[in-house]
Amino acid sequence: MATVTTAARPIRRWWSAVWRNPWFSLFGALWKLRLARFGLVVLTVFIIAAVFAPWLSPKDPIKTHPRDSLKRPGATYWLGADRLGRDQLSRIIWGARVSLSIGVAGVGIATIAGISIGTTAGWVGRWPDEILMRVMDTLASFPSIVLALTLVAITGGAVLNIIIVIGLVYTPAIARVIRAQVLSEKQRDYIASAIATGASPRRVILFHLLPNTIAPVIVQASIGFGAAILLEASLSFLGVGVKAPTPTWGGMLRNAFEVVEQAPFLTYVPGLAIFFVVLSFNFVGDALRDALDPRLRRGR
Amino acid sequence: MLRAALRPLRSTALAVIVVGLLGGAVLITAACGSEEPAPTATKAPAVAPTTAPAATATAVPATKAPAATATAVPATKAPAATATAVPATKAPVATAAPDPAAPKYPPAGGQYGGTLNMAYFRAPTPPDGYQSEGGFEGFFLWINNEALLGRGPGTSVSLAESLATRWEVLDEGLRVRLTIRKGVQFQGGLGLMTPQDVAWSFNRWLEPGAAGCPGCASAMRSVKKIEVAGNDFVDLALDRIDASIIVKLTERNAVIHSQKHWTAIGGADAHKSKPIGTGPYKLTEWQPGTVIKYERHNEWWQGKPLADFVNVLTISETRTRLAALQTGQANVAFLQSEMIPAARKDSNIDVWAGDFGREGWNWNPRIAPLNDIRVRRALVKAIDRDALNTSVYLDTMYMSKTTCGLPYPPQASDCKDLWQTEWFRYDVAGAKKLIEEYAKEKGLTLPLTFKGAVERRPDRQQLNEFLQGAWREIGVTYTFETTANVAASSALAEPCTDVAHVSTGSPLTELRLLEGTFSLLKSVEMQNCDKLGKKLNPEDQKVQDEIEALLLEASLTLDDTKRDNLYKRVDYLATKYVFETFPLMNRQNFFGCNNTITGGCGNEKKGIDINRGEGFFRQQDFWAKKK
Amino acid sequence: MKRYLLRRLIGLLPTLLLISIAVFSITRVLPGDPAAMLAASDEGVIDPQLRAFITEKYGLDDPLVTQYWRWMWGVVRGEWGDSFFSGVGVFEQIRTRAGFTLQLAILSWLTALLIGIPLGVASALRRNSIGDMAATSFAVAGIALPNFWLGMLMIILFAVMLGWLPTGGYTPISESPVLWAKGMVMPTIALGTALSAGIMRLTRSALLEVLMQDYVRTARAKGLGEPRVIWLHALRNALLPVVTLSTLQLGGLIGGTVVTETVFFLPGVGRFVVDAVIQKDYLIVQMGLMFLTLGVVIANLVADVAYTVLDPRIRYE
Repeated sequence: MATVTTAARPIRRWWSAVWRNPWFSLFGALWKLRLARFGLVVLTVFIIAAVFAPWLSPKDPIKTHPRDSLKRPGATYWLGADRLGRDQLSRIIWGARVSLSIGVAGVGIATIAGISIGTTAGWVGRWPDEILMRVMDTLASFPSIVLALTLVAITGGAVLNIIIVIGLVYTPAIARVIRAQVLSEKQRDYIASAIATGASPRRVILFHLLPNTIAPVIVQASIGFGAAILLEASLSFLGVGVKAPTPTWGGMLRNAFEVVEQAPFLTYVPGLAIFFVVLSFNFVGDALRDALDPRLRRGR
Repeated sequence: MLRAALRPLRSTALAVIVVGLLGGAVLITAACGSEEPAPTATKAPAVAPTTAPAATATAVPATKAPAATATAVPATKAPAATATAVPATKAPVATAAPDPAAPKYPPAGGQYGGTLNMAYFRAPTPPDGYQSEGGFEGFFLWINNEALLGRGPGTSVSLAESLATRWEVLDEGLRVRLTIRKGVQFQGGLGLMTPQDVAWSFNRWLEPGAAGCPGCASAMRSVKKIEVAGNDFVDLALDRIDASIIVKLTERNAVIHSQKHWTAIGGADAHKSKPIGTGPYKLTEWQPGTVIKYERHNEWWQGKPLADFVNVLTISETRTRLAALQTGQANVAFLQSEMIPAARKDSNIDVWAGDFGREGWNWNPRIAPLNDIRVRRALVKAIDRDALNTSVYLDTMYMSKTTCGLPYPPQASDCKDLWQTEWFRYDVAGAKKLIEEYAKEKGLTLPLTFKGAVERRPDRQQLNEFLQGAWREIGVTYTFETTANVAASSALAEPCTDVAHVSTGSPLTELRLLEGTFSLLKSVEMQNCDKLGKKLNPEDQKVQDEIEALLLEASLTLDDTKRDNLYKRVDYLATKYVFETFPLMNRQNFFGCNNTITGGCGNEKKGIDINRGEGFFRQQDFWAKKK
Repeated sequence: MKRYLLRRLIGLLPTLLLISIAVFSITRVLPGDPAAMLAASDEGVIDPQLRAFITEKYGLDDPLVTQYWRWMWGVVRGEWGDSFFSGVGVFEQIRTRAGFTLQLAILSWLTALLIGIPLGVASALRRNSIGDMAATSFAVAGIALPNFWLGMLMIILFAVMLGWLPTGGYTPISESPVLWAKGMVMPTIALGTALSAGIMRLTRSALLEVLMQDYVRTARAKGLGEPRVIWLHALRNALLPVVTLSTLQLGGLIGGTVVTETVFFLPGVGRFVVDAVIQKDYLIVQMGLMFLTLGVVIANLVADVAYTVLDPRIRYE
């Protein structure tokens, strides 16, 4: 196939986009920023805690020791024990597993769905675009927590359902972002030339269009992770999230709130965990945005 | 043109205007937007008690039906149609003695008037007394309603006159004649209560498809027909002897409403928010989930009510409810375990415990694995009730190791041989063995599983998480659904499929209430189980048959002691085989009273004064303190 | 301008229709039969006759499309129906609570402006100083802070430990301004913090951008004192986009009231809908969801229009 040279950078095979693309050095760029570094370190800690929970947690997070109810932090229970005598530290570690996986999976679904819908809408245009975007607008008009709350209450508190609901809630944001990108990239010469050389639309989209439009989606998704974790925590706090006795940070806050007079120390750690995770995702997302934007501009 | 003129000022001016408007909007909405939980006790003009209220006929502790000279022959199975002559009982004519437990006039330091605010933890569904769902506590019902008979003070079942002044049992136990009080005025100026109103109120329960409180219909199931006899009497025609029909006339099913008003406002639906009864206060406004407002009924037949207004606030959050009590926003409040220590420390609050009820569960013994007594026993043995009390209930429950039913004599039943032997004693290893034995015999692998339904109440949620943890230790995985209220939980259990446990409590202020066991055994749930072919195992079936026979016999036994003994036996059997509401804990309901603004708080009668029928206190028990 | 408004409004209609369909289908799919719950007794025994009666009365058996049209017709006419459980008009219940939620949202918005703008100005003027870094940290942290956790921490500090403020509940201003204020302090701060963080960043960047403009340099060159330059020229132009952009967040605030009202036990629409969802009280969930969503949509529309009107740089045709 003849190489078409244009003013813009052609991307012929998607994998060449990887090393030619500045993303590879993205990590290095991020590392240089102090905040992003902090975010990455914190996230790594939590991810390790989530992945290696069975080995890291000192006790069984579900096992109740009611005679040790509300014990203060000490030798036996490093972060204290809740009302039923469950070890807080173990619950935090296992809670990381639940909260992180729900948040990440949820946004993952949102990303896949959002990219599909946004790309279709942007590429095809005309009335499918109109319809799809209307549906997305409708979904976006619901305040996220009220929508999530209602849907979770309908479908029950199974983890899979919560993940799907969170995915549903964040799909419009991603769809919009990628649609805007697709609309602007669609007009570009390299796309036109790719079509002219006979590439099928699917090939054009997958190998030419997507790699160049995906950057803002990544930024949106990384910030979305934080929001999704916050949303899951809110749902558990209201009592409609993951069912007992699975530990989740929002649920721990809920239980702690009931005994806030007797044991205020139970509220500190789960909240801090949520706070730091969301903060880290925000740092990384911001840094990503700074890193990716000028590169995109420069790359053109 | 205008735009050009405004341009220089635009940004600043607009910002100021916008902010100002919004600030104003905020103030306006704050002032008149929502009507929210009741005002603090308003300073109503004190009405000096000139004379003691003209009590025409006050509720007098009537003596119980004297011991029947010839009791009905205790039937073994079917009731013998020919019961021996049941003596007619007559209530003594009312005297003018006031009920010592409920002063109708404020003593020194108190005053008439003011607003009584009572804070409760959940909202009743329609407060009219006829159409409510779920447990309808005496907190609400007796503010604006009255029944045909009342309860006297004291811990034994003593009946008092209320809207009926006298009752007679005629026709060998098949007819109850009630003498209706004259001169009782309905609220809202709706005129006198007549025997027609009484008959009509009763007939509502006999109609098919009657709204609300089907438990009331089942309480009246022995009644065949209701007739007005002359100007003074209402007769209940029974189709069999019912030993407890008289006592049932003190309860919700005997509340009398105005037929004229009901038909005038358009029936049941409208009556939900505009009920008219005969009680001391008339309902003026109902904001569901927020507050129910009442105002004084000036023509109340018992005299002048002590307050001008009564508000029942719904504050489901325990902390906020206690705060309302402490600030004086509420005079009386229901307290939950978490708040008891803080309330006791506060010298402005008097805390007292009310009746004993049971906190436990309803299990369906037809659903595996609960259909084997070994499994049920193992599940009970796995629970460390002491630890449960301290962790979930913060040491505020009462946990009997010797009785099943009421924990105090003379109604206490002896269940030492259940709690203190291998049968139910806390023993995790023993429980595990029973489970393993069961699993091996049935060829099942551990863990066994079963499901439950629990309402959203925090203490019940914690209880079930506790149970989850405890049962995990013996190889049983228990999961539960969270529902809105007990009725919703029961709805989940009804189809007899997989939900086998409903977390619940029940008031048990007297043994007679064990009659409810009867309706549980024959409930729709059990009928569905029959349809699905799910049966009790033979051992359990024998016990159920015995319970049914005992209950039937008890309803025919007019001798109180004998009847109580029969109920105690029912209680023992039902507890041993975990059939009815299993008494995991005896629960006390705690109330707090702000003694700086409310009189009547220190009344020690509010300890175990259980048989008031309307709960542990009446609104007449409180009055505003003089400033 | 008018044409633009009209077009926007008309463009809203399909979205509104879709929203109503979505709301209706969501709630009709809720498991649990309200008729069964209404027909249950104290011990949970369900009367089949009563249940059939209720199903008939509310038409719960009719095909879904029929139920939808019946509902929409009622909504449009203003008859929002009576709640299954309380029998009291849904409209009435939502109306009283809506006043409160609106109050909370607006107060939080104002608080956010009052906190965010000064912080943003201060940090823009003292770039890269300790103050700037502290303020920026606050901005960054504020967005990540779960607002219910912040509420809980405030309750622990101010109510449990110090006893200065009540732990929750609401007193209308007509009854006691003091108690009203005490009761509203913590909720508005909890709700407004996230927004104030965003406002602070916005103010900072807007002000910085404005300060680099030519006319500011001109003003400085003219010899005007620094404070006058800032207050008279720079701030006015910087604040405009900040205030108008923040109105777009009003919608998000309304969503945030849900959790805040639960923590502080406030009588608003958010908590009302949460309770109704758990109780499976269909009508309330429907109308509450509609109301909240409509509120967000209208708030966004108003903000959009305000933005158009106020900012001469944006012109829509």
